[in-house]
Amino acid sequence: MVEPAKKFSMRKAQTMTALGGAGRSIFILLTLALSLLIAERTQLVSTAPVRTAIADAMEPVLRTLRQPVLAVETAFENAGSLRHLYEENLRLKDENARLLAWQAAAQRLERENSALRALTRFGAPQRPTVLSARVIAGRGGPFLHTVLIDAGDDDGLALGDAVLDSAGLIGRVVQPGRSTARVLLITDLNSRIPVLVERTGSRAILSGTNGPRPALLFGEELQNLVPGDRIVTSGDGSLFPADLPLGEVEKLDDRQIWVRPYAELDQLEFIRIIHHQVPSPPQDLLPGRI
Amino acid sequence: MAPDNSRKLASILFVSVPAATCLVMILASLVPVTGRMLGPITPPLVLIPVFFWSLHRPAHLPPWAAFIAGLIYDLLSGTYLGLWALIATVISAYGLGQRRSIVTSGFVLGWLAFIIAAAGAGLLAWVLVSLLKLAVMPRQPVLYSTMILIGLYPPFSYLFGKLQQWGLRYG
Repeated sequence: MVEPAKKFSMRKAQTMTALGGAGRSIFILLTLALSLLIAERTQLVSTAPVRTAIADAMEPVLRTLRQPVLAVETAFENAGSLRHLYEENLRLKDENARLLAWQAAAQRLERENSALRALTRFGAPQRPTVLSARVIAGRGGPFLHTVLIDAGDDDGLALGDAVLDSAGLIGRVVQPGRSTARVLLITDLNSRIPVLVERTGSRAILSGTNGPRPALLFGEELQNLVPGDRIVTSGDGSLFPADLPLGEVEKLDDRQIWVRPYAELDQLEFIRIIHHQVPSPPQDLLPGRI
Repeated sequence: MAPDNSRKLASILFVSVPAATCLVMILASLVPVTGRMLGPITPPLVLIPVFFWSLHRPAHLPPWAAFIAGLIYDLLSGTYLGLWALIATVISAYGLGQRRSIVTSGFVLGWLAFIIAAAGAGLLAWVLVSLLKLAVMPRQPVLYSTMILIGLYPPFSYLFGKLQQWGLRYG
């Protein structure tokens, strides 16, 4: 009978034999991988040009691959909606009636706004450029909160542009390529957005947590918030245009204020990019002129 | 002449199947799937072919090929360069080390070995990303992703097994 210790070392020897000459190459590869990780993390090397070039090259392939998946999803969605046709119809009629009322209110406010602007000779703010695009690569892996879209420099997009879906802000452009761009979602740990609580006027920072819900930080009078309070971009720092819808307060506990984004971050398909020009300061406020 | 050419083509295809399956799985994990049932996270599917071929055809998917597959996935998915390259190399080494005891032992043992590999990969990835970001990452997405990966191994290993048999017959 072979002793356990001898059995273990025999098995270890068998494993090492099985790995054989690959052992040295595996060691070299692991060292190389660790070096790449450290180099990128410490920003010794910038991989952005390589990444954007590869993304641009793969864009047609990713777009083509999405088609059959989209066809299957649409078929499932249509089959599902057929089952609930009657309830869906009632819900849509109700929503239509509410939207018509809002439309009338919006038109009245627009007329009032125009009259007041004319009265005060207020200069209309520059309208931002809006681009449409599609998400072609979703969140790869459990740590990432970025998506790849099929619009880039050639379409007029720029670094830092705000990206929205039909309901609200989803993130900003962090790596624009020629025909693709990577978007950092608002749930990513690196995402920080200056926001405003509409009801109270409190300013805060919406910070990603790498979880499904971002949190409100560094704000004034945040203890007065209640679930349902609407959060919009404040426009501070000219990072984003002001008044872009973000989400609403979902839960408050001792440590954090959690925000439920309006955007369906798990269901991203068609998105809009708002390219806004940062306004330059008035001439008479430039240094040297008092 | 013609049968020689077709045999040559078949053997080229046979050799390239492991690398091709890695590329397909990388692209499959990036294509956005918005169906509510599937959830928000597509796991790193490339680990399935890396493990399978390191068990069954290590000569055609050596560790350096697993490294490159992981690197391509890093570049396309936008994650830290080297993260999945490192993990794919570890999985490849694990498969190489275990292949003598698993390859002839049937499917269940192979799946058990993959469960260990996937759990180890998830843990390693979580530790590395937490160190890189200097913050503790949420555990739930990693657990969810690992469970999906484990659940997807049987159908893909069956498919790859069929490709292997086809290759052996005609390659």
